[in-house]
Amino acid sequence: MEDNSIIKVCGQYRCTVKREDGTIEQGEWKNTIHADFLGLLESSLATPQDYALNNLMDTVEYNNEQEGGWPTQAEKDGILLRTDSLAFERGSYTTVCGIADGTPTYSKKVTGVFTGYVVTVYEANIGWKLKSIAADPPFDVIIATPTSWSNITLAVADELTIEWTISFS
Amino acid sequence: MNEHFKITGRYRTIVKRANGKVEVSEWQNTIHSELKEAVNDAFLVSQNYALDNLFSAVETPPASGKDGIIMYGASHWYSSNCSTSEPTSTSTKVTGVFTGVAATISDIALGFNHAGTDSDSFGVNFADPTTWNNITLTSDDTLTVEWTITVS
Repeated sequence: MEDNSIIKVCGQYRCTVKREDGTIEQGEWKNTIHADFLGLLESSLATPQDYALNNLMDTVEYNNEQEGGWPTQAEKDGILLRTDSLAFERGSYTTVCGIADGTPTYSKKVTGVFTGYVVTVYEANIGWKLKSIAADPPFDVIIATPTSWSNITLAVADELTIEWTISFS
Repeated sequence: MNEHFKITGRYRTIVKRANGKVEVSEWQNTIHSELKEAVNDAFLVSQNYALDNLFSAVETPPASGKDGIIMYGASHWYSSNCSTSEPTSTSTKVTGVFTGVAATISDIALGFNHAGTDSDSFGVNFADPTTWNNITLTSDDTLTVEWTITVS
């Protein structure tokens, strides 16, 4: 038996921008575990709860409050990008996501890839079950948000990859 | 919002003697790595580790598939009569009541989905005592264990 008097849940994310000319820009940041997830985890001790990231976003799709619903990505899990300076409901894009075991042992790494649009990315969130219409907050359960973020401006041929690791130690 | 949060626990033992005397003490626990594994695995596939199918009697071996607090005494593992409550919005308290058996209780455990054997084998072992002082009971004494797990 491992001798832990506590389980600590924390996370971090890495942004990698691959520019059309081959330049690569990378940054790594701490995240903030959201109170939604804290509440869900506490509830899971007494009542079964589903927070599995097993219905992942699988295409880049745009939505805002004028367009309303997500054509194909509603109720999916993963990393969402805010491309409006003020709020997710005013404009956001899904990413093409994958999930795998991370490092250290008790961790999961979610990867979200975005390309094909000229945008400035103002924030990213990782969450469970994207709401059916454009909203802020955008997920039924937000797992984590950036503790700090530097805006990223992308050209149509640039590619942004976010690797978000949540770990239990 | 938090950069991180943590799961911690502690337990309180309350012995009510047949003569009316009450002895209370409180201890830290050790969260088991199986709970950490279950919470992490739930990111990939939905997992059920909820303490919602509780032991309802003092018996040995503990009932198969049930959750809650078990106690070791008189060379056997016993289940306790369990209930749960939420003393705060971020904590769950499991209460286990043990009576009717003359025994020296030398260990306890909290877990999900017991194997139904005379052992401390759970599907997910939540926590064990970090320290434990043996408690000797007559069959008329009652030992109540209140185990609180907090997410903060």
